[in-house]
Amino acid sequence: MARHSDSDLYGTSFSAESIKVIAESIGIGCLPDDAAKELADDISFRVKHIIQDAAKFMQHAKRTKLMNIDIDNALKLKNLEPQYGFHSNEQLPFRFASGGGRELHFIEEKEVDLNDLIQNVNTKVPLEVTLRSHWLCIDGIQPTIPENPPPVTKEAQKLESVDPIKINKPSKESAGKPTTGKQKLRNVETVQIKQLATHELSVEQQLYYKEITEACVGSDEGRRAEALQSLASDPGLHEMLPRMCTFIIEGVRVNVVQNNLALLIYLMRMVKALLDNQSLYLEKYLHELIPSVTTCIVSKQLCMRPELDNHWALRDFASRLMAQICKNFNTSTNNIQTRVTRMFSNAISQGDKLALSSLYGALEGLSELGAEVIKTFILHRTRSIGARIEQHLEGSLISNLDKIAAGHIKSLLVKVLAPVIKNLRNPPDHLEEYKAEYGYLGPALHNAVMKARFQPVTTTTNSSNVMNNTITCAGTNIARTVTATSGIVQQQVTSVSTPGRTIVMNQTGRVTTPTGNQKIVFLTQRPQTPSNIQQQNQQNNTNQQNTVVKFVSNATTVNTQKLVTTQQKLSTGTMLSPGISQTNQQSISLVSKQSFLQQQKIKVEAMDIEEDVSTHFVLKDQ
Amino acid sequence: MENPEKSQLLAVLQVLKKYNLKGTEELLKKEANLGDGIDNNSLQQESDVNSVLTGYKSDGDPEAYEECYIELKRFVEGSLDIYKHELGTILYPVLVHMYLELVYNGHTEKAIALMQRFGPEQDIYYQDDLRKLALVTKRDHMNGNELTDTFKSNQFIIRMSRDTLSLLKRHLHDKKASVMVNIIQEHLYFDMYEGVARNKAQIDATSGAIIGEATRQDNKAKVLYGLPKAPDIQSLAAPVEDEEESNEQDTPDKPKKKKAKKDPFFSKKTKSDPNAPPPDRIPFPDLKDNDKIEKVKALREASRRVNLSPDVLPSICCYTLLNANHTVTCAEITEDSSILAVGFIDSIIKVWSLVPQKLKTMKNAEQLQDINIEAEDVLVRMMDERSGESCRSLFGHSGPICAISFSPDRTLLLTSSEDTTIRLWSLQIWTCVVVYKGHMFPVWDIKFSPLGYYFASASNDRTARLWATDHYQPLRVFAGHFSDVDVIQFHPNSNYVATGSSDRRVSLWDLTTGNYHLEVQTVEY
Repeated sequence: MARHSDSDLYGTSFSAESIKVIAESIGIGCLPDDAAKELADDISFRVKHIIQDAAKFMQHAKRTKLMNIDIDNALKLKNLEPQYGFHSNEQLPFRFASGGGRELHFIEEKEVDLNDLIQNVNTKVPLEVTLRSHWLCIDGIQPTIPENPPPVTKEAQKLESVDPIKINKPSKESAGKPTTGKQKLRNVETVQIKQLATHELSVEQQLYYKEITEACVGSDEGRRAEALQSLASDPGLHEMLPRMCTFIIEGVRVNVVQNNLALLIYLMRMVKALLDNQSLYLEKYLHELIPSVTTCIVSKQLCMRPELDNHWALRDFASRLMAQICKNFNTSTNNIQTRVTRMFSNAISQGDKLALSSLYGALEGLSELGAEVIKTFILHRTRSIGARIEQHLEGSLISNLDKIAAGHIKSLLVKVLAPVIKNLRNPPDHLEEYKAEYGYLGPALHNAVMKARFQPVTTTTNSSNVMNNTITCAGTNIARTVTATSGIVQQQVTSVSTPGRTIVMNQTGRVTTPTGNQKIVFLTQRPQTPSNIQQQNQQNNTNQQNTVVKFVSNATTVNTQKLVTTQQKLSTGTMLSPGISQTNQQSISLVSKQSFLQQQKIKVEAMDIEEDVSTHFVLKDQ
Repeated sequence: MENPEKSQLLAVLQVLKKYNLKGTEELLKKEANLGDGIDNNSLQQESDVNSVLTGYKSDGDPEAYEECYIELKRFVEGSLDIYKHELGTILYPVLVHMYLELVYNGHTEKAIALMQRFGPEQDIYYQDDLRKLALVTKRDHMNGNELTDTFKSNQFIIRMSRDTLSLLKRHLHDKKASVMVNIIQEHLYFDMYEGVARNKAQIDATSGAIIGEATRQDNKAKVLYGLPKAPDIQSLAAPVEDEEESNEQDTPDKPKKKKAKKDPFFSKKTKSDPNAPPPDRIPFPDLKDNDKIEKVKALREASRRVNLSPDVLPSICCYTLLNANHTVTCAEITEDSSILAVGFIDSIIKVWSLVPQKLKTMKNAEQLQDINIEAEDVLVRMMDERSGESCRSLFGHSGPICAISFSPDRTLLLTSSEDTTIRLWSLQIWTCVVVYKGHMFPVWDIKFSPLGYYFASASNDRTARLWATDHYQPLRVFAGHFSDVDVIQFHPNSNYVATGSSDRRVSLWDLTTGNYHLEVQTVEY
């Protein structure tokens, strides 16, 4: 026990003031000073004594934390009445009744509402104590299982990769060697030819590697989830990390050429899992991983049918990975963030030579890096990019592929720029100014900024005036896009059909967050972009002669027709991403239950959208 | 008989005399083997008794205490190096008693000032007590306070060499500081010994307890620390071996090998240890055949154990209780690591099986009647195969479980609780079999003797007790600690129990006589 200072011997005691306050609270108006002092001294003594005894109970329960039950027991030891206060707030509820010459005491039982029980409003019962066993050590060797600490700590890995000279001999010896015989060999070889020192994986590790890699790229989603979980949590992967990285890199290399979107997604999920593993330090492998991730962001083509497949989700996901890498590993020596930013920025500045899909990737990659990056590298290019996508969106020579890409870029830019512009500019937002400054994207940005400015207000007030504003805002947005493409017209249809609901939603005080279940939100926020495009794709594919006007003008007649198309959509939608959509059946049904129950046709459509959104989230979450 | 004990006894006799309780007095005298000869003696002691009862009344000038202490300190520091450390041991008790005297006489500020100035410079093993002492700042705080009562009614024992003591006496004689002389005369007991004064390390090794060091007398008694040879096992060893030989006749090499291995093991055992107590010193019930087989198995197991070395590293299995959030108070694993028992703060005991064999319960009475008692596997047949569970709960206590102990044959479980009771549970019918009531306060620790049957408990009521499973009252009460008895442990030969207490002493008690052999140690936690 440490030596105690003078103050420790006496500690603190109650002040006379607090005693007076307590006295007042129980109705003793003017307690004399000396009485308060006397009481304070005595109470301090008694309380300290009780705590001293309570500490005994704490020690005998092998705890270091004093709990109220210890105080209770200490009071019991002194034959004092324990404090019932923190057990239950009422005594045994005995009630008295008399009548018919009899007197009765009974315990009043409260009526229990079965509905409450059924709806599970009650708090959860604490989990039962269970016993778990694992090997801490087998013949003196610690097995690398999640329960045990990792054989090489993250700090050691970090030190090794950042500053290898600093590592002294013993700690280097501890770094990744399975047997003692090999260790000797390494020592003989010394540091200069370090690259020759090979890690030999044990049989178990080889087996593990085989299982994990097979599961990660296999077709069984359940196994894949398990494998990714293992990658994200197991502490003993340090030695296998080089092989895992090689697997990913080679996988990306091959599958980009073959345009195998699904496999690329699986590989990126592996990267994500490795990044999430708390016991791994990936810095040494970044030079290999970053190019692969970048490929998945900016590659011109990532899938067999660019107009059908949702390769945008992969680009988004990989961009987020890149942002995570930058956040975790950026140091003043490696400047990862700077280099990555420069890479994307250079790509954008190539101008028209750059494919639209790559442009999207570069923009997405930059925008994930934060508001500052957006402000510096994207904002001033808004005009030129806008001009470029205008050709594809509004021009006469429309290639379907480019149109989709341009649509994506547009919605991406609107989404990421709006918050930045909102902070940059002061409230009176004039459409003309926006048009002048941002060119083609001006109106859309203006709209989004207005909305962004407006959103906090809607959540706080319920005035119908404000509601009307929102609707008109949405209306203008739609009005602008009516002339654009069929895909976005659909967006309009749905949003027109739901303004009434917008109001209801706001009246109930819900905040319109991008991840909410309300359809209107999805339509104006990012996650819906791929789905919109997809709808558009399908529309273009299934019924080329799509009568857009009908959708808008006559809702009832469209009903049947639309139902048919959406059915088709639904089937194609599931076909596109079978593995993922299956796992999300639950969320889909849940979502569809919650929103848009009235109209069958919209419900089906909602499901379609939700499905895509949820696949999106699957990527994000895992 | 110990000196402080004697004075206590005499004080009791005096009180009895005072109230004219002749009968009780005679009885007590007879039981304590005190002849009439001590009557005169007791008169002599009368002043002593008075001083014990009156405590700290003193007319000393409160201003003088601090100076006195400084002077004593200066004397200690200025003395020769060989005496310095031994003389230093009186500083702590002097400080404590000065403080108590000041508090008793109402000079609280002076007392606090003295404590704040000199408290922190005391040895580290006294700091805990000083902090508890610092709580006492009023005369009525001393009323019924465990710590001050201990200081008041016991002399602080200091061991000193003859030279050091005479040096101290000379100093006190010269100074004539009445405060100091009073304290030293009334509250300090010098246990003088011949020889050179001890150094700091030697003193630190034995000091630290509330009432000072152990006197020489205390640790003089002979302790039979050896392990007695076990005749029952030896006699049984032969038949068991025969049995094995007959079993393994088809592999003729094996039994020979085993025999060769086993023989030296038992022959070594047969050499009787000169320090071992006679095997019948503590009576034990006769072992049942089953127990003997069990014991032989355990011995064989023990002989197979491999010593750990750099080449032979251990395997460790770690058991973790999940979702326990601060509710677990104690846990115990059987010797063969097959069963784990865990005590909870909400008075539940849970028992887990750590091996594939499930925890089975015994069949009910009707079914038991059908079993052939002569059958060899009668013990197995007794158990209900269908009732196997990997975890069972035992309910009965009404307070946090403090300690758990398995009987050596793993059929009984003892638990002690804050509710002052000890319960014996059967691990075959999974109910409470006996409730032992006797302790008045929480029972902190409980241990089965290595041979079963007896068990010992340690309690907050400052006593340790010895029980036998078939007696509902304690066989021995070991009183003598000045604070909670926190832990208890049997000697492997079951003839002694050792207790550790919050007064920071470790005592060894003889089960047959109930006498105690004291060893004082500094305990820092």
